[in-house]
Amino acid sequence: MSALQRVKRSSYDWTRGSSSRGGSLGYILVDDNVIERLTQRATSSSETLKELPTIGTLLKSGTASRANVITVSDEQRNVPAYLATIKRITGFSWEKIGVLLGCTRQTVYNWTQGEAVKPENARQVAALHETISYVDRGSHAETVALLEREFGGRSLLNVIKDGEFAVARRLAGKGSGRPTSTWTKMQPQKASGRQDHWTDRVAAQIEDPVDDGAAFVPNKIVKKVRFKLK
Amino acid sequence: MADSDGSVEGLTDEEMTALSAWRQGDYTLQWAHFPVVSDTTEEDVEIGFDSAVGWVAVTQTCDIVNYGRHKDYVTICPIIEADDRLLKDVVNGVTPAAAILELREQDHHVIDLGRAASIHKRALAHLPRKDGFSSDMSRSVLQQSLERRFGRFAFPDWLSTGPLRQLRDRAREKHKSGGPVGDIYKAIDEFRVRGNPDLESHGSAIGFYAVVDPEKEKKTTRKAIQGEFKALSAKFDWPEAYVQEDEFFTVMTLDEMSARQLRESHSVDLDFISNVKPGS
Repeated sequence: MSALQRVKRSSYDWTRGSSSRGGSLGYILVDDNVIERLTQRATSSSETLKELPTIGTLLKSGTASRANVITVSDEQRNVPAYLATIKRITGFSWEKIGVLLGCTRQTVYNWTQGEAVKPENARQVAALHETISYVDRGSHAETVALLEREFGGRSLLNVIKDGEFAVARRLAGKGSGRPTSTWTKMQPQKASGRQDHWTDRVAAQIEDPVDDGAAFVPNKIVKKVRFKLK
Repeated sequence: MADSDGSVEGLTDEEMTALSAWRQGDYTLQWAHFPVVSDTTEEDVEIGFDSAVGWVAVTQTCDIVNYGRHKDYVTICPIIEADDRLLKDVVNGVTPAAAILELREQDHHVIDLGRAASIHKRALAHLPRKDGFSSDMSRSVLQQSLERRFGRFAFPDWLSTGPLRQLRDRAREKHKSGGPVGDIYKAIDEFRVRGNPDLESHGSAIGFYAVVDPEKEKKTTRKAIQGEFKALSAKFDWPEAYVQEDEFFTVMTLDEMSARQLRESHSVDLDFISNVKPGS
């Protein structure tokens, strides 16, 4: 039994999984660092386990050497970007990503468009994002082949679908990531000299259509020269 | 001067030196006339000379300074005196008719992009040159104007005169009033539109992308943006011949957009949409 499986949902007030899939599978989602801490504490009293994060408390993501501190509310705000990244790395349709998350294509699309995401669902999207980013081999073909590969009779996709994200990361190992992931971030461009946002330009327009009037002074031909061609 | 194959002899060192100083957007006030073909008959062609303030080189700098076979000419546009209305539109960047000249002699001088002519590089090298722009950054405004005038994707009239105009008018109205709806439009860097298979064939499926700035988006919500466009698109004058995608307006940041989505869609310049009136 894995470390993750030993952490039973019934012990805490923090769940994972989608309601559309009939509720939790009985596990909670945490990253490797938390698992290690919890595994040691699993025999302790439930009082200790109340330290688990809730909305607004800090979570850690990333590897042990490069942990990023994020909050649950950050995760909710980042859901559209996370989903887009998952799609970009895998090339999966929203429908297939929905299968991984245990919800419909429409639900996933709605989340990308700012529909409210329940904290537990946001957490699951964040975990999927973290896992897919971690295993990313740098191309659709290689990453999808990896996700479809079987480990002990189960494909990595099924491991992920079952919510065993930490297990999936361990099985797959860290990928090289996007080929451009080490590129330096583009510097912000300076203003071009005109009104730079289109709404300012639109607002500056006079009511009449731009090209309706005689905007130019009438052309005046001041001299003519004729050339015989034949 | 002409070789047997019709090409013109090379420039002297002095002419090459003088030519090498010219940049795109540089100008001369030497001549107050601009050549145009004003008439043709079966037997002759009439060259007229319009009144103008001066000439601006609009050819790209590298093509001006590199001299060689088939690189004999530079394209010039006239400098004209704009009236107040045209000057305002040029300064605001809302007209493709003319472009701004940063280091102009007089405030109302603008570049008329409606006329162009060719000048031999030897002739250009002998003209007194004035800097048109102070930096590559300010020169890029001229380049954007040239791109708009000559390289802009032309949307079909049904889009320009209908939904795009309604979108533009709504944005202008809400920009003036500010507030939450103004924040929605401020958060949007760009609208893009996709037609499948295209924007003109009857039966095409049409969808819009609203590309938002991730920082400005924080002043509003994605749901509010969606709500605004759902309400607006319900009022669109939409021809029956075209189908709206089920997810008609999709909001995303550039990071969320795929290269395919970018390539398959066209940027909408709401600050300059063509002014063909419906039924005209």
